[in-house]
Amino acid sequence: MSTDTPPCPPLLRGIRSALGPTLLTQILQSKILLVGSGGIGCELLKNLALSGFRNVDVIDLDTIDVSNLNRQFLFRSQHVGMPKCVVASEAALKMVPPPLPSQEDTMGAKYTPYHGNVCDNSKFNVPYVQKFDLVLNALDNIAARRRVNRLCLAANVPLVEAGTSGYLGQVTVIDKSSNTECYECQPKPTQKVYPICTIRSTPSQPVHCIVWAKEMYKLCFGPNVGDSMLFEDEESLKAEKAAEEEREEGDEGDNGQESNGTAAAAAAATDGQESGEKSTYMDLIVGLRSLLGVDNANEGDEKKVLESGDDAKRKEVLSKAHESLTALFVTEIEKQIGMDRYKTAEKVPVPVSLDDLAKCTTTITGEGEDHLLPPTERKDYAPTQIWSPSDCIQELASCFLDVATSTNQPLPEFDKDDDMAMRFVTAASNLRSYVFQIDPIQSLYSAKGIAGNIIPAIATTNAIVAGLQVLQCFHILKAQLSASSKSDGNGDGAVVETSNLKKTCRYTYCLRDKTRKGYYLQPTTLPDPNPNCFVCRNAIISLTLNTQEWTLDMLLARVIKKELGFQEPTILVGGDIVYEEGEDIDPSEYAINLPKKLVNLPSGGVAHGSVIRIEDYSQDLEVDVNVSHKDVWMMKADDDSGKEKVDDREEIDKFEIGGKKPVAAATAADSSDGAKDNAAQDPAAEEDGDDDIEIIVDDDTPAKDTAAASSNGKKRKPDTEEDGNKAKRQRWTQKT
Amino acid sequence: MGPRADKHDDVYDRQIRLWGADAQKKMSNARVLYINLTGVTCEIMKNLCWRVLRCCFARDAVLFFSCGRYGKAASENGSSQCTVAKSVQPKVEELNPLLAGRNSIEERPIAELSDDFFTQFDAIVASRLTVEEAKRISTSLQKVDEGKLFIVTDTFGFDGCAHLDFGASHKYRRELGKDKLSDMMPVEPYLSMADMMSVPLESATGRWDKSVPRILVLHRLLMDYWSLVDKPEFVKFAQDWLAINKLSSSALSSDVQDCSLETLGEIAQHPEVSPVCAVLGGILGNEVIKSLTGKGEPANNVMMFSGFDGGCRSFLLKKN
Repeated sequence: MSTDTPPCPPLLRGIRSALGPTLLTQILQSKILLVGSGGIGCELLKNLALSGFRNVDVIDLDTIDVSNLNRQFLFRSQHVGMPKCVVASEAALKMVPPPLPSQEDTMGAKYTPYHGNVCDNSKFNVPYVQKFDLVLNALDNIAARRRVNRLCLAANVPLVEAGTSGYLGQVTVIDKSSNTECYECQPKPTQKVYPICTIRSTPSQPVHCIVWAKEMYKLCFGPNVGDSMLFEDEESLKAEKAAEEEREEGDEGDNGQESNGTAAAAAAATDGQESGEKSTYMDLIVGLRSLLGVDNANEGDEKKVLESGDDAKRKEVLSKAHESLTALFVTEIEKQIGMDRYKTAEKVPVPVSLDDLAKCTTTITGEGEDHLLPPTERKDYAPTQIWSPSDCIQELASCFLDVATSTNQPLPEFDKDDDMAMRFVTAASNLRSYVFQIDPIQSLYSAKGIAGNIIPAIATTNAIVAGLQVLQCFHILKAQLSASSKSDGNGDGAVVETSNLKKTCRYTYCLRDKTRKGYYLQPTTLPDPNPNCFVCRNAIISLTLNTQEWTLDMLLARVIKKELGFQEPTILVGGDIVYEEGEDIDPSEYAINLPKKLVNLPSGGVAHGSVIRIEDYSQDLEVDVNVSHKDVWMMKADDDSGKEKVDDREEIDKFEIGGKKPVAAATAADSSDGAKDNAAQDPAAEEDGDDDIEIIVDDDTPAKDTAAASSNGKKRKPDTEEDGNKAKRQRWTQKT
Repeated sequence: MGPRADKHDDVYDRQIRLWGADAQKKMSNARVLYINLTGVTCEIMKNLCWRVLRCCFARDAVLFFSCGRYGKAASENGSSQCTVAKSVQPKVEELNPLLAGRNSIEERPIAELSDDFFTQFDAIVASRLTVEEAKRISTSLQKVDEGKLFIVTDTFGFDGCAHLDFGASHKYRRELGKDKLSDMMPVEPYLSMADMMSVPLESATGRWDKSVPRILVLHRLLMDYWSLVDKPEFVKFAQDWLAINKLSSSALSSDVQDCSLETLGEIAQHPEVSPVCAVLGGILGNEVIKSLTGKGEPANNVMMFSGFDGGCRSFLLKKN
């Protein structure tokens, strides 16, 4: 061994033999930012620590949940409830090999956790990211991924991006100066969206019923009853009735409708025939809410609506619950049948039998005979059982009793991990499935998979992609090292000469079934950017919508923030600011413009052919939007709801970005207009989302698609070095 | 409150969703033997064993310091007499308290162990094995022929390799889309570990490999080098070894990676690179799951990982 090789901790000797002493020094000195410390993040931290990385910042906003313990291996049961980044950083720090003896005077290794949201621009902004040599993504949602993508592009720092879903995954490197594709160059897999009318009136799949049951949960127990898309009150019905009349009076084809009402009002309006008249269950459920104390619940309130032993109260709760359930599953159904709503439907709904409903009033909880207990309290209960209609009624009754007997505090939002919420949703959705004769009836276990949007995750895939990510880090550091040594000769100056990462870094697919050539991990060259990407190419976006109906508020919420991912947008029309937000900006200044129709905005308004400029300094992003006006969209019948005609409300809400294809092919069901890059996998985005469309990700759709792509050996083009990657160019993401 | 929450199900919830409750049960009852805890075998153990499998690790006294990754744990204990297995054991039990008392360490050399010892396991994951030891274990497993998985794997620098023997009678179901499985099918063509080790390397070519795959050559070269107690100078050893195996010196070089015999010699001494172990450990973890559950097409019969480009593929060793 030559004398100029510094002594090396035993654990890092392998790295030194494979990479050489210079790169090892680079590893020891580099600064890494890791965003996310869940499934992939834990694996990354272990790999980084064992590879000798000594300066790592970790950002994660999550705390540890019991279901994380099986594959987020840095966490133990005593850590449940603690911030992931804190526990993970501490654990990783213990694995870092001690510093080289020759560097004993240097700072020790630092793994610094930041418990926060990477979208928080006050802490995690472009100057912050510029401090790092590279950034690693280990995220589970599109919103945060887009954020980090934009920060890294703006800061010109390489980003190693990864995602997994079941056995499938991918790793890639995004680097502005190497001219690679960015995270937003390719549209994300289209999410399934369901029109409101399908959810409210014409369900045909279990998932429709589960979406409905989640809304019903909000209606019964949510902190704000108006948040449920099933909610109706006098005011919203009146507004909607007025809109209906206006629409009828309007020119044919021109669907004039006031649309600045609440989402709930808009939702209610979609029921066409029902508008103007409240659903039969509405008042009963509002009454039940107040009886259960949902509306006057207070933080810290120790009072209970129903004290043990108060039989009269107990009877009252059950009898009111019985009335509500009867209205939901009998009266309302019969009313709809009476209105000929299902005249053309394949199956006419069948109300729940009154005998089954009667089980509600006899339901007991705690100790008792099995046939009086709800299914989840019976001795032989298993989450995979299928409940009968009377089981579902008893389970719902027990949910109402549970709320009445719990201390009078606000109930949490729907959460798949909340026991009562899942029991309620399973029972309510199955009853609806029984009524509409939808197969199959779901067990609590399978309903949880659909309701919680669970994409399966396993430890091995996380381990694989995290390993590949760190191998990419080695390539990036090596390229940076050679670039800097070329530029100033001593290796520690700024990187002047750009290093092209396309030479050594790879876009790697992790597959379940091997390719024809036998590949399980398929490396391909880093793709070129999409010239039409508005994020990394500053391309002009074309946007088609109804400029006479859309308000600035709608444009801001649905397109600019949700679809394009702007955080603090400044909107300019004809060179004048019509809206801006952000730090130190008084939002009231432009608030007056928000309810205005686009055509009525100042500076001449936005009409066919107008250009809107949107800037966001928090992400160093600016884009011009070319607007095309369109008031009639070709609509097809919705496949999911049979012959149901998609109504005008949804037609007015339609928009299209890109505008390359005629929209005629788009159906409301897959709304490729509005949802192609929807942050549906982001729980936050889903909750904040428009209430008029509910988005559910099929449990394993992306996984299935890709599995099919990879196992479909016969139809594949001959394997080249790239091995048919173009056909598979899609990413899938994971909840870690 | 009734028996609503089953904690065990909660912890494995997402995995159960992926492979089903039945398969999960099979895995919880499986017994796995880990021979020699190196980076890659530790990764496999971490991926599978904790919270999922019962485990048992054996430790061969001859290869005392072979485990780079967990060497630190050993030195922390302050005793150079402590084997890697002993220092890993409490960590495994911490990861998965269910494994406490359900694992054991075997310190006798492989040559002293009976056939029955090896056949009690559903899967054997071995590292730093000599060709002779691999053949010895293979012969034991063939006597019962119950479709047990036997993996011999090592990583070296950026690369890693594994030989996989799923057992002559192993049957599996291919996955056909969501929730659909094919009929049972055998692993074909099948070669036992002993047969794999006996295939002359110069004949190990295939449809996509006109020359013998570099990583396979490297693995076998290093298996032979590591088996020697008194290690000769590496460059000389490698040149002789290539000649004996009728391979040219270009069998060790690749178009993308400049790797001299001198560098290889250093890698032979210090072979472990953490992320390489992680990737191969994940890939092989999947193969163990495939073997235990009988779901999914097994990787037959050599797996080669190149950390330089991140590619991992299977290669079929055939009898001539």
